[in-house]
Amino acid sequence: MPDLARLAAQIEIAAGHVTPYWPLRGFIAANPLQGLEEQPFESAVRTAAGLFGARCWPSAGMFRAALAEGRIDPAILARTAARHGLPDAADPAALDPPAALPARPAAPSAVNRVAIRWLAAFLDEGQAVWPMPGRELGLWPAFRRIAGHDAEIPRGAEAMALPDQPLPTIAALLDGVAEADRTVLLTRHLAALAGWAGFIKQRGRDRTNAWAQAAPAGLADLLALRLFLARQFAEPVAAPAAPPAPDAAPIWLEAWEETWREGLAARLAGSGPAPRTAPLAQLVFCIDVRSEVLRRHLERRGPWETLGFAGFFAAAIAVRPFGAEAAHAACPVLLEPRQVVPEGAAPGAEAAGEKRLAGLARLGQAKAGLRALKDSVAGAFGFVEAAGAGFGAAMVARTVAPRGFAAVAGRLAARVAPPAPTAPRLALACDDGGAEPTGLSPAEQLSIAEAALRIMGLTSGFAKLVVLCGHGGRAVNNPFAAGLDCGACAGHRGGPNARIVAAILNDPAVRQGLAARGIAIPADTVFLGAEHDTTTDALEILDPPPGGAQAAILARLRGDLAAAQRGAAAERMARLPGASIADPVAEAERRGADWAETRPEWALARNAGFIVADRGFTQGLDLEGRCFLHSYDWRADADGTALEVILTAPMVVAEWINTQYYFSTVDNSVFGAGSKVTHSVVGAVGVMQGNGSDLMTGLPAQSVFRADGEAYHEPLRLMTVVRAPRARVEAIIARQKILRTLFANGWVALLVADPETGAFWRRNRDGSWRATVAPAAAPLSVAA
Amino acid sequence: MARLLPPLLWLGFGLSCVLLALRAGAPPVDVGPLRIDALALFLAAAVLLVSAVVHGFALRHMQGEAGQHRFFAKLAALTAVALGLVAADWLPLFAAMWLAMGWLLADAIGHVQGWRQAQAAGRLARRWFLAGGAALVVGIGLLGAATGEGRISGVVAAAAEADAVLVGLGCALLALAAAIQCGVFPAHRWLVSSMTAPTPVSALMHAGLVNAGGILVARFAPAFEAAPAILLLLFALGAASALFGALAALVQTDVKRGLACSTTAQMGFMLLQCGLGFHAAAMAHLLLHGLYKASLFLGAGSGLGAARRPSPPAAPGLSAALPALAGALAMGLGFALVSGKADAGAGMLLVLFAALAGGQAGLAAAEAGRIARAAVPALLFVAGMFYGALVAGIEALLAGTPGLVAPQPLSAAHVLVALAFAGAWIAVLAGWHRRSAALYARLVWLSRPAAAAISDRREATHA
Repeated sequence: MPDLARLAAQIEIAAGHVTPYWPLRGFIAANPLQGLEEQPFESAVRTAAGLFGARCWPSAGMFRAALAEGRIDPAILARTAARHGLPDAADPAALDPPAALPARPAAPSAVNRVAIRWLAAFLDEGQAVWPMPGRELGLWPAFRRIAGHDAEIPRGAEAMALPDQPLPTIAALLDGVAEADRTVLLTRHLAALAGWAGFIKQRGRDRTNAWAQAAPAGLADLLALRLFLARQFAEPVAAPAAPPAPDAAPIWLEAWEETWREGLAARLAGSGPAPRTAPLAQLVFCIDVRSEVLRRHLERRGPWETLGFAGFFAAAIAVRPFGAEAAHAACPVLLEPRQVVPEGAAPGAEAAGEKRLAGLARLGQAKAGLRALKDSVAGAFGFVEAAGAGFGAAMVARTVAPRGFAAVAGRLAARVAPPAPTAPRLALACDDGGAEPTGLSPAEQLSIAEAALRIMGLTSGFAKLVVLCGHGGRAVNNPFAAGLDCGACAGHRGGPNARIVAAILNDPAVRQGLAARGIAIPADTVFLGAEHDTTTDALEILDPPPGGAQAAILARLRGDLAAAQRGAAAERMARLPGASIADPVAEAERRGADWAETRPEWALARNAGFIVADRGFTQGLDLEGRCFLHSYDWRADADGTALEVILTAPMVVAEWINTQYYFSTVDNSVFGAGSKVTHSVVGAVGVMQGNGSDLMTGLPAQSVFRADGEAYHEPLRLMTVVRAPRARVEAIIARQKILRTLFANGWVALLVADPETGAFWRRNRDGSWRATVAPAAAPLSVAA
Repeated sequence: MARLLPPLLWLGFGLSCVLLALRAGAPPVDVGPLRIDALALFLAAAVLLVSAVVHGFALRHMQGEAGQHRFFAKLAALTAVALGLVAADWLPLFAAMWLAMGWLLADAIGHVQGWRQAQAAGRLARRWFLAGGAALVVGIGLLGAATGEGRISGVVAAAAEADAVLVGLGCALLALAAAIQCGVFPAHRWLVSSMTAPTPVSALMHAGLVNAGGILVARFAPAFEAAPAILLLLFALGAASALFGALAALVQTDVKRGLACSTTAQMGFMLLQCGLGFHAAAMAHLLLHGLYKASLFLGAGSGLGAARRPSPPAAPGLSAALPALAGALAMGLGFALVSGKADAGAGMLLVLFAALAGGQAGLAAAEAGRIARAAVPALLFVAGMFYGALVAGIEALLAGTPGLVAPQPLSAAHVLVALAFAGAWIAVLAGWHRRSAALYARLVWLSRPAAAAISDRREATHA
């Protein structure tokens, strides 16, 4: 009997290569090479290429297109090639693979095919009316019992001769495999269907998902299942064939990145701080790259100051929207939400709230009834005939007039369940029958308020009106719709968080507490929660409008927001393929309501920079929606506490997003989800391709490609720009291992704009610094 | 270029509707090898409607996909071939259109070039279609030889007097061709393996092209009437497929394959209707199911909303029996009154299926409040009348085409099938099926896609 503890440790090591996959209900970005971040980028992608059979560098075609379009500066390319000692690499011919290797088609894998069948059955979260039997026992025990009934598995009944526990089963099945080869073997098995494995890894840890208990599965179960199948089919697990990567690829990528980065540095250096007038209102947007476009258009139109902050506004909570059955986490996955804040009917609107709840219940019943009719074994035939004409009419309307259909459907739903004013229920309460109390204690509220204001650097100079803007996208008939929502809110709409934090900041007791800690909010400052619709660039104020001086400010703000929406939508529509730009706002609304649309918006495509600075540093620059903007006041953070949080939390999340875009672009089949037109939603958790496949993780082709073979996203690794004294940044990097890992291994580049000296410093991967002076006239200093 | 098609298709749809209304009851017009009769106009309208919607959808949905020109050329060609098929009267033309349809459809299933599994799915479909096409060609040949006629209209007029063995054999082969085209059990493998096709193709396929099997039987209806044994066989095959498809749909975890199983069931039901002699009702089904299924395929991206709580649904208690019974009676009665199906031999079976839908709806209402519970039977009665009016209306529109309403006498086999469906419905409601892991695994196995059509490796999904 081999040592089970050692085996468990080997499984743990193999599991480190599996990137968790979150169900598409809330879209969460992850670096598909998460387990390899401890390695330098170049060696990590080499490992990944062999493990997943993936291309890990942009293709020769992408590089050539970038060169032709001027996105790679030939001078920078030549310089980079020379610095790497490979001057010939700058020649486009160097991108062609060394020898035209005949593509070796991988042998069909029966193990993968049968595993897909039973993983889809076991991990289903409510799509199948009749779920797989025995799921409560766990993945391996349930599969073990049904294997004998699967006609494709040779002698499937032999599974019953193996133990019911996964670990002893693996031990038995690994008998005869040398100790030294085990980890590699297990890793290959987990990498073979990395999507399904990632989902098992995530669900096993997710304590909020009721299915994790109803159908428990761990990676050990998966390994037991796969090792059993491999034995029965006598199929060895082979390393997939990776496309060859030319030596020139890293050089070209670096040149591409440096072209953009040097351009950005030059523009940042060239823009002087704008003359500041006291703003009428301050609007706090999410750091999301899409905010930059609307912020720029709004600032141009009036005395509005905008700030950037992670869209959960420092409230690490779960929210339960009004009428929703369950709460969902609404904070970055780095954090564990401890409290649930429910939304209730607004004070004074209880009757309307009751009416809405009753209407929502009726709608829910109607939907369930319709579903039962569709699935009815004998009733579906008459139902289809009786209802076919209705389905047909809706289909025609949705196709011919998507916006009109959405408007009519919305009105009908509002007739059944009329909207009611709601408000977050902040105070601690135990009145909704749940085991745990909901709401936040006064101390928790105060700590959220202080953290939010300090980290965004808004501790003085409050305007009369401060609008917190969460955000969410709009898409129909789109499994990836949550991908348009706020990543900082765990892939959900950010409006609820904005309202919760605005309510906290309006609370007199909280303000008293803040004053005691040195943040004095004037009595006549009002905070409002709002939501930025990133698909249409409309900004909806969610809280009831205030009276007094704020009413006039708000009226003026609404006018400027409408104008900013037109400008921002026009800018974004021009970048979307097939968009009619005559009326950009109408076109944006159409895209958000059209069931045929695969690109409602570009979301975070082309993201490449993460700028931590006060807005004065970037004001007036057209950053083309490519930069995350986090507000930071270096003067108010002498000890670097706020900066440390920004670099270790929002920046890390930005790196996940950036790497997900990078890898989804360079190999959309392996790291992305492939084309939407052949997707099938599986298990109510994700998508498969065609008749069945791995669970397709990453971004669909339509999110990163303008057209087949024509990338829209530029696969550039993230560059973080920090406006703070260099010594402060160095001290933080010295304290934080995650930062050393990301900067030293080349996952993220760093530029420090030292406000005390005015110098721009780039951090080399070895930890040394090189001065980079951006103005176009000055030759760029290149330090090796 | 493709942008011009939707308006043209809408125009064609409007035109066929107008002609259909104006020419209801008028004698058919022969135009060379074509025959323009009520059935042809009705089916042309159905084809054009679905094609117009699918074209409009695909223009936005396929934005940026590789091979768009090829794609729209295929879509347009499929539409044209389907139009040719519904109007063809000359036997060789009908056969040619049938073969062309199969060829183009297999091509569309394998549309994504460089995706090996898509190519495999296309080849699989092509093999099935070639087999079906061969059966059709031989069957048509036999019928032509038996009657000495070269046109469908001639064959069906002379079938009753022709050699019964030849006619029976010919009809059997046509039934085989129809079953393959419809993807009914056990010829469903190509259908459940066809999800490599872009979504709009699936919509067109499930709404239009699988129906060609029913169209084939309806076109040759009087010949089938001369071979009642084949009709009974068709009925049995249809019933088996309806039951299998409905059960297999229960175990599917991905949206599109669930829809494919549902198509296998619904096409079985259509052939069942044909087997009962209600060809016009089958044509109504073809149109209504087509609209239903096209809408579900185009909307297949909405499948995440399906997420449910893990607790298994409770079997409805006895207290639900009354609302279910009331719903069944109300809808069945409404349907029978307006459609007149209760008076016509095996028509009772159609009434039963209407009643079962009413029963299921009544069950849903059992959960609702008291007011809803009282209102639901009345609503279902109206729904039944509406449904009956649809079927009766389409029968009236198609009255100009002979042989489309020829009810078979009620037989023991019919009663047996009726009992089987009612029994299956109750068994599934009570949750008895959940006790058998073997049945579950069997259904998963029988509804699996072909091995070569599954993308078993991530790196091979797209070239």
